[in-house]
Amino acid sequence: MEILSGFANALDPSNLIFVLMGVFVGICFGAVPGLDPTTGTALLIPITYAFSPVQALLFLTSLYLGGVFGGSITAILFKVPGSSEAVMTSLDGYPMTQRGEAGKALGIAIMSSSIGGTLAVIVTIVLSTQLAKVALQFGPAEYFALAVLGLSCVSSIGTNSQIKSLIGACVGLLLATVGIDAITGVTRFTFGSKSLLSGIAFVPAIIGLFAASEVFNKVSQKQELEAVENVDTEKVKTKLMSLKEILALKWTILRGSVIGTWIGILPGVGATTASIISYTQEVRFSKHPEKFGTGIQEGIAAPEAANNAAAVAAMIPLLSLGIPGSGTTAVLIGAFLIHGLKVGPLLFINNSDLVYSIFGGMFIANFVVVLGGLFAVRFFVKLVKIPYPIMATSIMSFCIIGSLALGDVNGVLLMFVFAVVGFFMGHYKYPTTPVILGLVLGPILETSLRRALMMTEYNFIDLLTRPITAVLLGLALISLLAPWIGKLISFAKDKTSNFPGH
Amino acid sequence: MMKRNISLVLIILLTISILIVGCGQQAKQETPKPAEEPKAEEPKTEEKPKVDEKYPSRTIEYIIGWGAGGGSDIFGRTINMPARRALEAQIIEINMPGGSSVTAMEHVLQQPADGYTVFGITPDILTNTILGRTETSYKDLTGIIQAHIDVGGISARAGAPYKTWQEFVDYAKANPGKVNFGGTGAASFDEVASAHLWTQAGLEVKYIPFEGSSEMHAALLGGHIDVMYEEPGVIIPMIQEGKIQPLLVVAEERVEALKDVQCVSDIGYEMPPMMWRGIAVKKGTPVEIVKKLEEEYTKALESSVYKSFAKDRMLDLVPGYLNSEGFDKLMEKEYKIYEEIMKKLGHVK
Repeated sequence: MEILSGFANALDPSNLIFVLMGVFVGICFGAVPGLDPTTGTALLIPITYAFSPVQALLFLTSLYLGGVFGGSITAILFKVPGSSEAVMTSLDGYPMTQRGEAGKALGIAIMSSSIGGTLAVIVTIVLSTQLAKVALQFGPAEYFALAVLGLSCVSSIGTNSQIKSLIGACVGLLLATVGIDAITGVTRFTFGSKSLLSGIAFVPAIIGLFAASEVFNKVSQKQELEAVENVDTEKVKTKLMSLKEILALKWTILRGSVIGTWIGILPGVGATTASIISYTQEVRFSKHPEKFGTGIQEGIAAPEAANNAAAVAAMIPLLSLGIPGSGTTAVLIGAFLIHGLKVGPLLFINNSDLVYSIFGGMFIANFVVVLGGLFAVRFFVKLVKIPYPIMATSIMSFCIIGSLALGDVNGVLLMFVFAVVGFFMGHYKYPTTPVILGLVLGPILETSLRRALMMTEYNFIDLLTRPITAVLLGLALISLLAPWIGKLISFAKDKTSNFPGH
Repeated sequence: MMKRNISLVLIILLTISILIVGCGQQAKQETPKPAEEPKAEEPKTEEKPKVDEKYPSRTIEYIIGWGAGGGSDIFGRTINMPARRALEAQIIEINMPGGSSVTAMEHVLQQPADGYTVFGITPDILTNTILGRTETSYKDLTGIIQAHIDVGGISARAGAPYKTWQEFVDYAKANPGKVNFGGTGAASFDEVASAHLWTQAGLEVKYIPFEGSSEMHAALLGGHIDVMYEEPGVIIPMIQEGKIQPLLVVAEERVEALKDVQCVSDIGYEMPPMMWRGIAVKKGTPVEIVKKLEEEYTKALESSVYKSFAKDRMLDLVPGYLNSEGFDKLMEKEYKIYEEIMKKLGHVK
């Protein structure tokens, strides 16, 4: 029954206003490239000194949820993922915008985010403690298998050449080795550059490969500029999904939420990884995997449900074990501390009303995301109608600001290098997504594998025979080989149909 | 009508992002300012004492070598609240994460030695030099104060077959080369401090580095590692909970908050280096400015804001204050210790 008083608390106008504010501020933080929800939370913690503990935590958790959704707005409209959580959303979101279905794409993103987040809140309320215990079974070997699973879809997404995708993924993995090695502390491939010591920053790389290279691409094809204008002059309205459409995507959203919730609970991997793996699995489950990357609804629903679910679920280990499940929840510990609260299971006992108010607040925040999303999108969507030359200039300025925000001037340089590389990759029909997947998952993959091997005295058999690891790696193998298996089957079918009865 | 609305939205968005980026994050956008300012002050610099009397006459930049929300970040933002009042100056914190604070260090040393760039430091500035990540070293800095010592500890999962350091030593000796010893960072402070202890005990263990402490805590609770090096201040809720069993507090004497747990002198070992946080400026900063900063930051340590922060995070378990001179001497002493252990561990030749 405590949960009911928690809801009542969160709905109290003096608290509700902080939920509203949090979500709106979060959406803005999320939508602006280079400002991710984690940075937003960290920057705004000092102003919560003035709030009561409940208000502060409602504000910050709502901000986080809003931020994770916000990144998808710019990802869908301009292929500029506002935060790394939205990388996968741009794969199918942007092609939909190009077809003039921006409103629909945003509607799917809003609804999937909201439903994914809501389901995760329910799981958090009901199963928090039990799930946290299960999550502890995940050691380095399992993290490694999870990263492999995330990478395994590269052969299936958005391309007609598996070899080119695999080349891209390898390049990404290679780039991920730049910087100080997390296992030995040795500096690798920095060529004396100090700004490469912490590796190749995701944000400039993502913005360069996705957004800036797209601008180059458009500008290089003069006749297409007009075509884009034509498509977009017609009314672009956010269309929230009808119940029928939601039901059509129910399994996608459900799978996304479950995957997102689970990955959110694991410390060290967050909403970005959740959205990647959710997308991967969606490709694997799909009857038409080749359509992913061309602008289909599942491609938006899966990662969006997953990243919001992960954002919520990151609170599970925080509240039941005292271990933050993501970068942002780690920052949230600071917010607990400045209000004299210590995170961990004791919080449930000593401050149960606060914990349940947070749960209630998160539940409500997921609905506010719908409102805030509609509101924000109404402005953003108009930007699509702006003539492309002006739009391109604005996108480029956002790209530059975005890469400046996280690193230093070298970030901008990095962004332009990736933009040029991305442009030529597009020109020669090499997909850019595998590079990003390699770059994001590479560090998890490599360090977890090496950590796991150190622990088992370099015994691969021990590693592979752990049950969870074996299952995850098995799934990964199926995903990786899926396109070839599909070809083999259709080839066999062709053969039999060509030579009937002989 | 429509067009105006759209351009308005665009303009507002761009302005907001420029503002946020400018205020919140990076110094790069601020660089024009310092470049202008010294020029304006040039005539004055000739009569040195005058400038020093006026210090601080403009905004001081406090550089943090780590991301927002980390230990160094929160320390910096907390100490600067009273320091602003004491110094009667604006201080802005700038996060420059990257390369284990190398990026920040190199930035600080590119600024003029005028006391307007202050640097929050940790023992990483010593290890970075030893590991060859940067050509700069602690010798390029002048310490202002050492603010506190973050006491470390060795902990195990509750239910492990050892409840004290001695029991752990016996267990590790019975299983040579099998014990997984967790710590944050590779070739890092955690590894050096841990190795200092395990070599004294004559143990053969595997050091397993983690990028973040949360991952390591989960690995300990899940039984993937056997023990870990961690500051008790971070895991005190889990200790009180009975989920984590502290084996040893890495301090000369027992601490009040964990008085049942053995300390280093109880087991008769030599003390390993300790984790400290402090404040420094570029070497060559006028003595008067160093003195002024030392005085005011020392005062800031006495403020109630800082004291309650230190209490919450258990940063006041052992006295950790050193003045400018003492801090410089400590860095010199510890540099040698780190170098020796890093060589033993095979991180440097």
